[in-house]
Amino acid sequence: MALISGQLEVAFGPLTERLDQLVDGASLYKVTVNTSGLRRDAGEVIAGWTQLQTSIAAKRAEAALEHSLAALPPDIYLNSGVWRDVQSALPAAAGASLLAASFAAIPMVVSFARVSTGVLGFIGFSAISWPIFAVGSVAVITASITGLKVLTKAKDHRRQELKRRLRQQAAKQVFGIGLPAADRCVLNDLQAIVIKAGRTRVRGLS
Amino acid sequence: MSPLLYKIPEVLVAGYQSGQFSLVGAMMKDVTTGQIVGHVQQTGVFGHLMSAGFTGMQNSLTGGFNPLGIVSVIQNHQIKGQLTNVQGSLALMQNLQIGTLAVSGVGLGVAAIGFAVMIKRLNAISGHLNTLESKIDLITRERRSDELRAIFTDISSTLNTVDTLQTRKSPQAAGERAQEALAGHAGRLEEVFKDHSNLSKAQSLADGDLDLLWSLAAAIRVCHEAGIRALFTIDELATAQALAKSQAERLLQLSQTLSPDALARLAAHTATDPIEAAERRKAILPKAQTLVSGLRATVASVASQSALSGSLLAKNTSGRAYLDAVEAEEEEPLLFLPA
Repeated sequence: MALISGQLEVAFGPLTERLDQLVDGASLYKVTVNTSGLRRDAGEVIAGWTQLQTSIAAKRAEAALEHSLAALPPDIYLNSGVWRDVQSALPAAAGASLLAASFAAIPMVVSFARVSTGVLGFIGFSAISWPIFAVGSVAVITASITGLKVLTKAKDHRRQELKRRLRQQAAKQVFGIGLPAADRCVLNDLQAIVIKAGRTRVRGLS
Repeated sequence: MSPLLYKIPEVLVAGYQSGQFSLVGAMMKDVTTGQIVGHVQQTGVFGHLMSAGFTGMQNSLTGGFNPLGIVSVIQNHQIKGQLTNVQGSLALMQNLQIGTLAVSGVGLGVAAIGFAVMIKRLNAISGHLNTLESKIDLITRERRSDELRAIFTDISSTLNTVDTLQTRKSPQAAGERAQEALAGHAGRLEEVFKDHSNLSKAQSLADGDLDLLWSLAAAIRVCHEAGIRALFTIDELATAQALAKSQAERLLQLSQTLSPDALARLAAHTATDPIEAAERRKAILPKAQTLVSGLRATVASVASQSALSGSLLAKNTSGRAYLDAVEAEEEEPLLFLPA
C-alpha cells in the first residue's frame, strides 16, 4: 500500500507538468470560449497516466508476491497458519474499510495479467465529475473589446486559473484530496485492485 | 544461567536470518508449519546495548517516549544500518520497524523495565499531550484536556500501587485491583482514540491530531504492559493470557480503521491551493505510515504476551518465577523460552 502511494506521489509531479503544458499550448479559443476540448484533452492525459501507473503497480506487486511464494519451502502445509504469512506479502489491507467503495467497483476476480495490460474502465478517474471550466470566459470576451493589453493580461490570468483548476482536479482524482476519506480515487482503486489480484493468485495455489 | 530461560540458540538466529523462522511480536515461529518454537524476552541489559548501538540517535528511543514528529524523521534504514554492526542475538532486531520501538518500546515479552520507568514514560506522554492542546480542535479542547488529565492522574496513581506489589505481604488483592484499574484506564483512552480516529466523520486533520493518536497509543500500551506485569507478579497467568488476547483484538480493531493515505488525504483538506494540498499530503504521509505501522506492530507484541502466558501455564511455571529469571539476567540482552 505504501509503495503504491509512493509511486503515485513520485509520478504526480510529471502529470501536473504535462497538464500545465496542455494549458500553455491550448489556443485562445480553447482557453476562453470553449473549454470542453481542453477538458477532453486533460481527461485523456490523466487516463493515460492512470493506465501506466496501474500497469507499473501491478507488475511490481506481482513480482513481490512471486518472490515471497518462491521463498517458501516446497513441503509447505497448505492449510497451515503460514498462509496468513503468505497473505501478509500482499499489500496489507490497512484501513480496508476505507477501500470498500473501491472493492465494490472492481470485478470479483481480477488477475495481475489483466491489470497489467488491459484497459480498466472502472479505475477512479471516471467516477469523479469534472467541473465546468467556462466560468470567466464572458469576462475575457468583454475584455477583448477594450484592448489587446487587457486581453493578453486576461488570457494569462485565465491560463493560470485553468492550470490551478486542473491541478486541483488531478489531485482530487488521483489522491482524493477534497473528498471524504472513504470516497474512491485512483490511489484507492489501485490498492484495491492489487489486493484482489494478489488474492486471486494465492487462491490459485491452494 | 536460569533453567527456565536460555541464551538464544545460534541455530535460531541463523534460521531467522535465512528465513526459516520469523519473529511475530515476541513469538519465534517456524515459517513452514506456522508453529511457535519459543518466545523471545528482552532483559534489562537490552536497553543499554540498543542505546549503545544506535549512536547518534535518540537514546530514549528504546525505552522512553518520543513524539511522532521526531520518530518519523528517523528512517528505517538507519536502524538496519546500525544493527549490522551488532553481533549475536540482537541480529533478531534487524527487521525492526521504528514505529514498533517507539510505541511499544520493542515489547519483546513481559515489560522488563521497572514501574518507575513506566511512570517516567507516562509523564513524558502527558507532558507532550499538553503541548498539543493548541493544535487540537478548539471546541473540544477544554473538555478533552480535562478528561485526559484525569485519566493520566489515575494511571499514575495505579502505577504507584503496582510498584509496591513485590513488597506487600499480601499482594494478590492489590494486584487484582490494580490490573482492573489499568484495564479501565486503557478502555477510557481507547474511547478517546476511537473518537479521534473516526475518519468517516472527519472533515480534516490538524497537525496535532496524528500526534494525539500516537501519544494515546503509547499511553494505552503503558497500561497494558503494567497490567500484564501485575498479573505475572501475582501469578494470574490464565487471566494474563485471556486479557492480552482481548487487548490485542481491541488494538487490531482500533488500527484497522486507520489508513495512512486516508489520514494524509484529510490533512490536505486544510490547504488553500492545490500545490499546498499536494505538499501537505506528501509531508504528513510518513508520519501517518509510522503511526499505523507502529500500531500494527503493537498488536503482535500484545498477542505475544498471551502466547507467553499460555506457554508458562503449560510448563507449570509461575509468573513470579519468570519475572525473577528475567530480572536476574546480567549478560544477555535477549533470552529464549522454548515452547
